[in-house]
Amino acid sequence: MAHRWGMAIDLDRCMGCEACVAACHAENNLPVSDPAQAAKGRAVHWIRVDRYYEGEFPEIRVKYMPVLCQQCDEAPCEPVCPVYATYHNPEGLNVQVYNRCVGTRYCGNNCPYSVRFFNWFEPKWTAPLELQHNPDVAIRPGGVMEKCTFCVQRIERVKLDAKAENRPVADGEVQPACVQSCPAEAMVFGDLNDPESKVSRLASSGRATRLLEELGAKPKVFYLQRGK
Amino acid sequence: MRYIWLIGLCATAALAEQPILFPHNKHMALGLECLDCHSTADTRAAAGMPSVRKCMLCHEKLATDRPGVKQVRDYAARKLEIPWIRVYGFSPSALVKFRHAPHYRANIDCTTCHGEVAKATVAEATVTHNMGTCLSCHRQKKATEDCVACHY
Amino acid sequence: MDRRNFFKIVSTASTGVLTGACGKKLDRYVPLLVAEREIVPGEEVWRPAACGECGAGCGVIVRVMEAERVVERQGDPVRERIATIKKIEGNPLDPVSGGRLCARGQAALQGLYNPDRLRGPLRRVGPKGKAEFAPTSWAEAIAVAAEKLEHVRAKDPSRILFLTGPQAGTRALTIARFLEALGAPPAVTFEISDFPIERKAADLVFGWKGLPVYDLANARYVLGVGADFLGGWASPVFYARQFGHFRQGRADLRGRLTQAESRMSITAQAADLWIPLPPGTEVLFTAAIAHLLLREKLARGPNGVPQQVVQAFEAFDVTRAVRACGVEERRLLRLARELGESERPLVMAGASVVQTNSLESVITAHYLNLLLGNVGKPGGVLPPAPEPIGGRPGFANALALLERTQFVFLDGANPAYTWPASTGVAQKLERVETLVSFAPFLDDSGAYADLLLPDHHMLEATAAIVPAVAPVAAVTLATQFVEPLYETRATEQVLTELAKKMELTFEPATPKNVLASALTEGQTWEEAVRQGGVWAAAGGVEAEQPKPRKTGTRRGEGPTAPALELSAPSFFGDTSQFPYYFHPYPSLQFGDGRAANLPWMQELPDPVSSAMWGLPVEIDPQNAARLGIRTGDLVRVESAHGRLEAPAYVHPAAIPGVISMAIGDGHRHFGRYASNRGANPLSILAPVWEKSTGALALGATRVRITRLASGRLIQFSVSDREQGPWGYR
Repeated sequence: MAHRWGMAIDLDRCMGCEACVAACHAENNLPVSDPAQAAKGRAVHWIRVDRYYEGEFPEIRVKYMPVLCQQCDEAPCEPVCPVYATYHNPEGLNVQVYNRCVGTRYCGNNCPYSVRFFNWFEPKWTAPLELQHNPDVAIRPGGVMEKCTFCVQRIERVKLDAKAENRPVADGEVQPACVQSCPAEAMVFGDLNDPESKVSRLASSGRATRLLEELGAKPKVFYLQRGK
Repeated sequence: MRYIWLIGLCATAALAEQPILFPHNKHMALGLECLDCHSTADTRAAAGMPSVRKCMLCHEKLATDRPGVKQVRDYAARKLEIPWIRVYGFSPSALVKFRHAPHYRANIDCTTCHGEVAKATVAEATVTHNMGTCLSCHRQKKATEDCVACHY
Repeated sequence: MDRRNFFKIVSTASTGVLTGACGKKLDRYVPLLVAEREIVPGEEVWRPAACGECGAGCGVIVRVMEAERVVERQGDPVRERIATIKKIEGNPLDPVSGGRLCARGQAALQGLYNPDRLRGPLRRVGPKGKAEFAPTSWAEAIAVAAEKLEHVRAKDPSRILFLTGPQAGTRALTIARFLEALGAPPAVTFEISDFPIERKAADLVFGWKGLPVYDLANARYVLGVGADFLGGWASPVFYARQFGHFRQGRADLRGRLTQAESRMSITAQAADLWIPLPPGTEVLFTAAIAHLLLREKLARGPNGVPQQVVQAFEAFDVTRAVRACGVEERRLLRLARELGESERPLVMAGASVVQTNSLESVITAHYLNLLLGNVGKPGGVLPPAPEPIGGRPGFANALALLERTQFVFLDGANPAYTWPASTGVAQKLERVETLVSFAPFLDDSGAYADLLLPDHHMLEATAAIVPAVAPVAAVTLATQFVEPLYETRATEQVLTELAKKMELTFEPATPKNVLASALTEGQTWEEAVRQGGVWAAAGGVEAEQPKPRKTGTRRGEGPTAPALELSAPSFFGDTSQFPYYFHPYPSLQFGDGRAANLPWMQELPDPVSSAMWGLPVEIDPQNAARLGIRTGDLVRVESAHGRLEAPAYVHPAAIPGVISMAIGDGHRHFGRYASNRGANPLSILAPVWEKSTGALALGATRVRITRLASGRLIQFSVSDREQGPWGYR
């Protein structure tokens, strides 16, 4: 059976340290903008940590929530793309094909989670910062949308290794960069088609919810609410 | 100390020319196979370029008087890797991540994409690679046509 | 065997497959002792290394791949293929990082490949402090340094001062040996990230040398007091890993965390309950809990506590705490009961933001732990693991030392940034005859240097580091793998050359020679290199039972435990002129400021304000409304000792009357990403120190705040941007 990749994020473990954000930058060659562009809302973070306040001082609580592309099954970004640059692949990934993208930004506008980013300019790195670039991930040109890929390069690599050894991909073997880095092990990645996988079990736990579930986008990222 | 990692220095002017005119044909005629030197083509993404150390496994003793081999030994003595120029590969703007191993496992002969290297002297790009050539083969072999299998 | 396999075996004969103790497959390592280092283009090699971003000393693994750079050689551009580091992850074998890593540690890569790195030695050509330098050769730089150093040494070697950073290990050992050979006083660390108060409290109460290890993972109810242990205190990755387990790692058992702190820190927001304490009232709060615990007869280990301390707790007037902390007695009582009734209670105390009475507050918390009977037990306070190679630099207030110094070395210290301007640090650095900086960057203090002798980046270095907090005796090991990018030189080597020029008997400490004694039976140096460290088997720490010090002065008992002092904190600045507490805190992104030059960290949204490229002043909504301050407005924060200007962030969870600000911005010199960006909250602090340790009292200054103009706070978070004008991306 094909894989169906999904993620569970335990908000009871997460404390908003943003290790995942840095890991994503290192893994996926995200461009760093500058203050002027950042002020225009053009900074790019495929994963961010959203912060919410609940109540008023002193009975106030702060909630953190890492938000990345939710890889929706009914992704609102997909049907609005005029050039079929964003589509659903057989493993349930919501894929952005940079080669096809013409930069209409319709998908970004239609994304309820604000996780799609537009490259306003050709990305630049001051030498020798580019020596850090991960050769497994494309450097996106200016004028295209980009977003979290669930670290598809890592998925492909693990699948390759497993196939070379003639065995199935083990649960937990694929670790996107954010999942790998998380000090509190709040993030779990795996195959939702495998009922025994850790992510499947967490997704069906009583604490699991999905972001803006009422929109019906059927995200594949499950948030486990804080315990009592 | 410093030059251990300067895996070869090469003036940009000489980009077009291989540092050593490596005769693929002679090596193949001796019974070597592609994988003997490009040893990760069957298991990894990259086929792998042999290190100068690997060359020296044989050329420590063999054919030491030939001019090309002398060049190799010279690199080895200076602890430098040979700055081979790669002749195949996709331009960065193609946004393609090619992996050798699955193609090897699918029994695609090396010559399909690399031509008759066994008969060639210096490596040259003799086969054109573009999305058309990739896809026609993928269709023929019923391999994946998922965009993200190659573009990410 | 076919021919191809023969080739493979010959060419990678020494590639061993290492299966880690933790069960994770670790065949990604290539051992060091491959006769020649070999990298297949397009393929990765993972190598162990050490993180040098803070004192925690996490073991990491780095992903090395071939890359190409163009360098200029004799005027011609030349293509050079080099080994480059693509990513840093935690070393799964390391008991501190356990395979995980914080944001700052991962961003260390941008220090390695930072465009502003110094590419070779430089000598001063302009006036001191003006940061005008010209390249020089290593030979010349060392000759100049040796001559000046010899000049000072001949007259009075006590006028040599070596300021270092918080990391313990071979670097510190080498420096100690060098100074000994010179006859100079030992190196001193006087940065804000060394935790001298926590060390001293553990020493005074338990006789422990080092930071206590809190067994958070196995605790059931935790009361945090003043220590932002998830945000950057002591060893953030180590405690964050434990926190995950504490919360959801045990079947049907969820740990509860209550955090008492003067700021909504990373730890406070992760807690189930946050108790906002006015700055400096931690000690009264803790004493009140101890009093109630005794009153409710819930104390389990009163025998371990000196009698006079128990008496002081019993005599403590809870209403004093109620008044000072603004926490009702029934709430305190509930906390005391929760702690006392928990099967495994734990109090984690520290001083993320040092107050003048912080030492007392940590000592009081240790006594509270003794009352709870958790010291030395699973889920409690554990003694620090022995430090196998020693070499932890001593902490001292270096201000007076600097005053009378003629020759200063700087390594991992940036006094011009971390010492308040009111200490006159700038003038003092200017007056120093010769200042030599080993920093890989031109930083605030480097601007005053006569010689910049840039060290390798940590990822290019060979070093052994002793982690600040480790569950077992641990040494993190890094051996040079990628060649240094530039003509930098390891400080160990520079000191060796200096010693040689001056004809001193000196041998630098190398990981190999200092570790020889730390290796246990069956361990080899090669194995240590391959694994990235040496770690004692688990369980060794718990075996050692604590011996709390007794009070009284019976002879032969050694030092006595401190009596309980419950003094009020001191604040500097007239209340009528400066009505607010100023509360600068080490930031998640920049720590004590040393990560401010990393572009990833500059663009990392602040966890609270979502600010990028410049940190705001945090003010509560009540006072903000009164002063007409809105988020984004440019405000001026003034103390009796200076003022700064920065955008405001109206923080709904700020304690009214407490103005917080993250430390990290406001560098004069620190490369293109950090120089002259934002404001440095440390610069306006009063020159006040915690008395017995000499630690800078970060939270002891009073300020006033005024709105200057409307401005702009650059924020990332969607929820904040939606309140403003239409943003587009």
